[in-house]
Amino acid sequence: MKKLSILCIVIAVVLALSACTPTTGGTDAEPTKAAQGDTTQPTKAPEKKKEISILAITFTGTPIADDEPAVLALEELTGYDIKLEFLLNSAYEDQLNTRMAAGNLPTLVAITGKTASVISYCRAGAFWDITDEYKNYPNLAKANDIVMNNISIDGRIYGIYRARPLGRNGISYRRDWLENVGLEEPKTMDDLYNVLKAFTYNDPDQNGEKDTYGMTWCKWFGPLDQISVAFGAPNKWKVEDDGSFTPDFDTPEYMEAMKYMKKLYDEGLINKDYAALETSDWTKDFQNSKSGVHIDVSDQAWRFQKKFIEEMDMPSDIVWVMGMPEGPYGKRVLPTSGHSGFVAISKDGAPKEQDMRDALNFLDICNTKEGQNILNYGVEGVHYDLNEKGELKRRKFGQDPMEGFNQFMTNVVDGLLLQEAMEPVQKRREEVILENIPYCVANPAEPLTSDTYAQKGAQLDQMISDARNQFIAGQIDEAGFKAVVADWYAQGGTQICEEFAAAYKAAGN
Amino acid sequence: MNSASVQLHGNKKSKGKSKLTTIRKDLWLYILLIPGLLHYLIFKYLPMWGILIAFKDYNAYLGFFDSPWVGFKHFTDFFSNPDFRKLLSNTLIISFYNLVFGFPAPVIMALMLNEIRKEWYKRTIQTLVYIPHFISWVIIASLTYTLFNSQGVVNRYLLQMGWEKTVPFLTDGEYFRGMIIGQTIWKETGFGTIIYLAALSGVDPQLYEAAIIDGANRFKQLWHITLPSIKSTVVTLLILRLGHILDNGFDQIFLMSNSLNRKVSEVFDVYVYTIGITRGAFSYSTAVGLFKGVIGIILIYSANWLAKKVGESGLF
Repeated sequence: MKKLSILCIVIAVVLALSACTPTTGGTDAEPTKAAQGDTTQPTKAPEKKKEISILAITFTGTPIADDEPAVLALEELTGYDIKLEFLLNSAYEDQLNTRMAAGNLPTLVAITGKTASVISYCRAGAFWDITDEYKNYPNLAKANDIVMNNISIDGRIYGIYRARPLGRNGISYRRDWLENVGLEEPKTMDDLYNVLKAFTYNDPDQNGEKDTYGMTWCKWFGPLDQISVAFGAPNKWKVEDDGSFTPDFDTPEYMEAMKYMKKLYDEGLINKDYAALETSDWTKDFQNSKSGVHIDVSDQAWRFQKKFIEEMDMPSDIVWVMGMPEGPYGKRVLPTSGHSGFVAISKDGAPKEQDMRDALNFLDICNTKEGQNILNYGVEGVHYDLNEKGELKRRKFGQDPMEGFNQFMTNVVDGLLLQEAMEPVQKRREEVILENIPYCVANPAEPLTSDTYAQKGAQLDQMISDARNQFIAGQIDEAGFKAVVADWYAQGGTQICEEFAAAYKAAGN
Repeated sequence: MNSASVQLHGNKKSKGKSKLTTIRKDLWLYILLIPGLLHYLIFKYLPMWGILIAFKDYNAYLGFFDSPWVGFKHFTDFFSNPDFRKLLSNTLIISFYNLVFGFPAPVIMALMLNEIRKEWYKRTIQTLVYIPHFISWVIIASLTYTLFNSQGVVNRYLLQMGWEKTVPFLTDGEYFRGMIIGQTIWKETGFGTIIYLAALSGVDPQLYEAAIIDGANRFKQLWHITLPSIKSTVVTLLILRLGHILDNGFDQIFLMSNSLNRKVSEVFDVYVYTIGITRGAFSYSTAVGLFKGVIGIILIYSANWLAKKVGESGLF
């Protein structure tokens, strides 16, 4: 009896302990709360500033604090008391959904894309419709109309877009490996195949072992989409002559691209387990000199190179960047949409019309020359220095003190940023972005909304990207893929095509 | 036990006195009960009102009360969904494997531990085997990835042993269920033994002594004394387990699934997450969750009924 009761207590304690084991997600919000706590300003007490609260994205989990010099500088410039709050990128959409449901959003909210829930909340009026407002502000009025149209929902605008260069995609590769195997920078997709093959079988790191391979992929389908477009497939949708919509995966070019990818897979030029590799581990093999090509945004090249220099003591000229090589139909580049979502003004955080105008005013000041430079680079003498040519040189930090700060930066006005002193690979990257622009293939459905797509799109998209991976891994053949496409049409795809075509027509095409 | 039943009888005798006397008598016990009671009321019963949104077209901005009623719309949508059968069979198959391979594992391990004579050795093993319980699924999933990917230790070993190709443990649906069950057994078996060991320690040693005198060997002792004495614990846990037959544990499945094994890895728990949280269809996923709960209750009741039928005490 006694023994049993002691054991019962033990079990109870152990159970209680097990309830305390950390779960994922729950802990994410804590550092931000801690960071949010104290915003007392010792220097300026007299004038009471208007408060503006902001929800944005952190990629590392250690975002900028409210008393960081850059935040103070922005407060000084704008005259607002800034309260920042961050959520981790990996869980941002999920947590944003729960926050929207709970109804406690701050004034400004970084929205990463037009997901079904974002569309439904915008329609229900959770965010301010600023279509008729934003033009009243001198800097915001300079925003690009095409991009503004792209972020619109039912023709209404619910925020200021977070600008991104259109031609941002590109390929990073190991320049020293290319020299070692005696090849040139690839001009065509076949050249690229040869490079990948040489990187896998010709010992590019010259250590006498077969311990390298061509290119790393991961769960995320970005690099696969870039290859599809290079092979002539449309960017998501193709508008036929009669105005009807065809999805990219129902075109023969898409099939060609998949066969190319399957060839890479079958010959071991890409990592076999890519479908199981988490996005956060995507860059590891390249960084550890196990693979030599990386298809992503072109910024990645400098990130690799910087880490090679700073953490691995490697030469400073081994990573280079290029645009997508030519496919059978010439050079075709998958652009980014010119935005990465938008910054919206929530009615929770700005209940009155005046609050909304205050928030717009804040965003307007952020788009002045001073505002953009603070958000982008921080404060001179703290985060960067200017050299004699007036070029900007960022200071080095072990941990980026301004992490996440640029996530609510909108930068709708071009040409205001200070010129940065750049390394060769960064200069090349700027060129690649410009070279890409004339070859960018636009997505005709970008500004359009389809209710069925908003509702079922995520699942339908997954069906196709699953099927593509299964095709590449050899689990299904061409007929199997066609069957999935037929299934896609049956489960709502047909409706989506029709709705997009109707919206396209209504938009005046 | 004895003292409790005596007390019960005592109360019956003095019927005239109100229940208040009983409460006053064990006042401190009742006070101790309050936090637990409150916990259940506030965190388990009160939120049950939320189930109502399964019958509404819930839009968070409109709020709980203003969202329109839609009756059984979400349920019909769910049952007529072409995914429904796939989800149900995937969920049931994984649960079934877990029941067949995962459930007996701790019983067997507890019996084995019980046979160990050296006390310190037994304790050490016991501690070591239940440590994995405290490791989160995220860690286990990445351990699995590191060990089982095409360049991982396991595959390299297989290649050395003369396998011709690497085995796609992570990216082929065929291996998915095996990996899931393997992970669960590795993680939970040791912890599961604790309850059985507790039951085993309550067995009267005199029974064994008598059996030895009667000439029973180790195996016969196990069969006739040890097993019968933990039978009711096993049945109780089995009944509880059946109630969770539609739960596969979200973290584990979610972390292990990818586009190449989705055919077998799509289960209710992950589905509720994808639909409810990532797509924001709260009503629909509540309906799915409610369906799971109702099935769970039915299963618990029928298992309990069955247990009583075959002469076990059951849960309630």
